[in-house]
Amino acid sequence: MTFGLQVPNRVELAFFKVHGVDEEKNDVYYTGDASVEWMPDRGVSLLSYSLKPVSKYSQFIVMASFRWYGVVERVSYTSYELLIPFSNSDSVALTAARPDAVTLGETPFVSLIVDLPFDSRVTEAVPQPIGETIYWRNETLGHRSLVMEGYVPFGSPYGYSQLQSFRVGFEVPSLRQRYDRLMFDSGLFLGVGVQFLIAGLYDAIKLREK
Amino acid sequence: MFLYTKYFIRLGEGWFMASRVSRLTLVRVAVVYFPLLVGLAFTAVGVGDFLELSRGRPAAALPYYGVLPFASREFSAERVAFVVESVSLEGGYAD
Repeated sequence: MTFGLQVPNRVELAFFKVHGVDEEKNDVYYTGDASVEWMPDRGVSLLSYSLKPVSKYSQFIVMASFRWYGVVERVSYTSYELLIPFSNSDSVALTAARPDAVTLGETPFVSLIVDLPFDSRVTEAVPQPIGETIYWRNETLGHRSLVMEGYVPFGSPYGYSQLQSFRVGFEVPSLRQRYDRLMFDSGLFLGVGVQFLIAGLYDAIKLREK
Repeated sequence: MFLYTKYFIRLGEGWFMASRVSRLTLVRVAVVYFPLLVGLAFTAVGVGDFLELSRGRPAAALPYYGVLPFASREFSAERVAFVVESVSLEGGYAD
């Protein structure tokens, strides 16, 4: 049996943890074969994990952990956006590589927890977070955790791409300070520098004429 | 510029009279090379700061494919949870 996940953009350092129950309904942790396939022409990564079930009970908890590139975009000098789109399209990228794959074709309850740097400031979030928890350890170590929830339709086989997405936009105040300083410095240095250049050139011409 | 620097030239003139530096060279240094040097340095720093501010960023492309769980046979999921444990702003990735 194989479990997998189609993920837009490139993925690295992926690993799976799968556990189920045996015939006596005790927890069983599976060991299997994991694979990550990057499809650059479609910009999609396919993560999969193959295992051999040990009991008739087909209930599993599948955890996939990975480093996800391209999920955080810098949208301005001081702000970033984290976008997680969920597929409700015909998922051609998946079926091209795994024709026998069966997608999750229902509307489960999806929760997203995003741990942001402590000094960040959330500017917008879709859907609205249902809560925020601040984890405080010391003056330099801590983070804020946003919780977002919603029902998401997955894997409809027909129609155009409809990607219901969770999105968090946030700003970094330390970058705002740097932005302000660079604005001031560039104006100051350009103002003084260009004036000196013009004066030097003017005097050079004047001296040459004498 | 010339008005300000001529006083400096006159002050230093006596000192330089003893040396072999001609008055014309002194004038050139004071009113031409010095302003040009300072102007170039300040302009370069200003342009550098400005370029850092206006550094071009690729427009964020909307994704065509999304996150989609799959399996080798029909399955259902009551709950799907995602946890972004850390965000790398420089690397543009999340763990």
